[in-house]
Parts: sequence; structure tokens; C-alpha cells
Amino acid sequence: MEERPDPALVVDVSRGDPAALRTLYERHGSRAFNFIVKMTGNRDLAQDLLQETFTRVWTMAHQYDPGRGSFRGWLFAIALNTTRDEMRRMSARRHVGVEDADVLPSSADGPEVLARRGQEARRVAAALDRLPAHLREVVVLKVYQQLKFSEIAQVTGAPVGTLKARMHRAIAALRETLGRERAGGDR
Amino acid sequence: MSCPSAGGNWNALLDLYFGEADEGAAAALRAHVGECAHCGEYLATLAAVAGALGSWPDEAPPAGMAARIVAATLKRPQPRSAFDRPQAAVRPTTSALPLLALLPVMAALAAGIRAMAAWLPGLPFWPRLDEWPLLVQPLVPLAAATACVLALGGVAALAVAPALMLETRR
Repeated sequence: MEERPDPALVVDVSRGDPAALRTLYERHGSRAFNFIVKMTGNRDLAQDLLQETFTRVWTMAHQYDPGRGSFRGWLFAIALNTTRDEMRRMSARRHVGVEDADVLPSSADGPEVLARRGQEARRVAAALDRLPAHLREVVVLKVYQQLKFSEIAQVTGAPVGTLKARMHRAIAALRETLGRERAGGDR
Repeated sequence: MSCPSAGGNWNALLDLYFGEADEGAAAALRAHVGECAHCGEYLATLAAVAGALGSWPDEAPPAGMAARIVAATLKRPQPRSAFDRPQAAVRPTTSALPLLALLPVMAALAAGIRAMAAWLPGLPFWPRLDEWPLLVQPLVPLAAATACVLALGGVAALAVAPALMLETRR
């Protein structure tokens, strides 16, 4: 089962096979979770959204068309839409408020996880939080998920040229937020 | 975002930095960046920002997340899948079976036509066939009987159709 390609597993999922869904989760769940955390800045919320993402995979598996792109791209598109929906609902609170809830560990986090998060991570999370969502999406998908621009286009539905323009704007904004000294320190 | 000296735009620098430029373009861009202060500065900014972003490490989901997800999804009904339809269609093993099942019906139909063909010539309004060709004379009662049976079948089908349609919609 573990060696089956993703599209075959999606067919199994569409037939109601939970083991196939679990295999897809084991392959892609961590990256999807990382993506959602970077988008929302909140681990507890990310867990809920990851669950919702895979629930949508479960109920929409019959709609997946391998000819239109990879499963990973499809999964990220679902994760992104799930995150957008949630952020729209929470728009009054604006991106959950990284300074308060941020990458603060959930109750499930152990000492190792706690130790990993330093001041730098919080600073980056806060800087990402200040970006408009459409810029943050490109940065997270490009820098953290290392997708190609063509893959990001599949996920977001925006043309590659638009995505690159957004990337330029995001880089400029992050440079300002993170501090010119820091951004220029490696030169 | 245009590089004045390159006459192009900095999108190519994104491709270069993130490894999406093809070999030839990458080599030309590296040579250009070595001489162009604007592009060099932009590339350095890209590297610095990406480096800073890298200080937020990957976040892993908590243990037990897979079980939680599977448990949650199993509670959700799954719509009928397009992938299931061929499976359902395959279930009646071979295509010859429906025809075999029709054999008794066809036999009964043939017997009914034959009986009616024997009965029709006895009716008072049955025409005289003496002047008809000899080859045709025995076929006329069969043809008339077949027409009658088909007409009766058609009437019966029309009578049952509304009930069948209602049943299908359910």
C-alpha cells in the first residue's frame, strides 16, 4: 500500500478506504501542517484546519484529476482554501494575532518543541503576520514549502507573473519589517 | 522592479535564486549579477530575507494527528464516487446472461403468436386468401398475430410506464 502512487491512493480514498487516507496523510500531512501553521501562526488552529483539509480530501477525492496537477498541489490548494475560509471568518481578529497566540506551543508540545522556538521565530512569525494574506501565501509556499512558481500557480489560481510580482512586494515588505540591518547583514 | 542595466526584470533573479532558471539563463544571470550592483543587491536582499525566514523552523503535527483525522473523516458521509460506477456495472458477471434469461419470455411470446395465428382465421371478419400467392397465405395469420401481440405489449407497457417512472425516481 505504501508504495502506491498518490493518484491510485486518491481513487482508494474515493471508494472509502481510510487506510489510503492515512497513507496520504503520512506522506503529505507534515508539510500541509507546516504550511497552515506558517499561514495562521497558530498551532492549535492549524490542527483543526489540517483535520478539515483531510476531511475535504475524503469527501472530494472523486473530484481529483491527476491530469490537472499533482496530488500535493491539490492538497495545498484545499489547505489554502480551508485556511482562507477560516481567516475570513476570523477577519475581525486578523490572522489570530501572532504576538499573542502565535507559535505559542499547544498543550501537546513537549520541551523539545518549546526549546526550538526562539525569539527569531517569533519575530519572523510577526513579520509574516503583518503581510497581506495574498503575499504571505506566496512567501510560505515558496520559501517554506519550496514549490515552484508553476506549482504555486496551481495552488493559488494566480498567474506566475502575478505571483512573482507579489513575491517582490513581499520581500520588500519583509526586508522593512525584519530590519534593514538584518536583511543586509549577509551581504 | 526592472534592472536598468539588464533591460529586463527581476523575475529572472527569483528564478535564479530559487533554482528555477535553466542552465544557460542561470549562467548568463550569474555573470550579469557579478557586474550589476542593482541586481547584486536585490539577490543579497532575497538571500537575507529567505535566511531570516528560515529561523522559523518546520512545525510538525502532534503525535496522534493521523488517528484523529481518520476518526473524524469516517464520521463524514462520502458522496458516491465516479470511480464506483464501473465497479457496480461489472457486477452482473457476463453480458450473455441477460439474453439467456430472456429465452423463456421469447418462447412464451412465440407460443402466443402461434396460438393467435391459429385462432385469427376462425374469426368472421377474416378475409379470404384464396387469390393470394401460395407462399404468402400461411404467413398472413402469423404476421397478423405478431402485430396483435406487439400492439397488446405496447398498450401494456404504456399502462405500466407511469408506475415504473415513479419507482425509478424514488
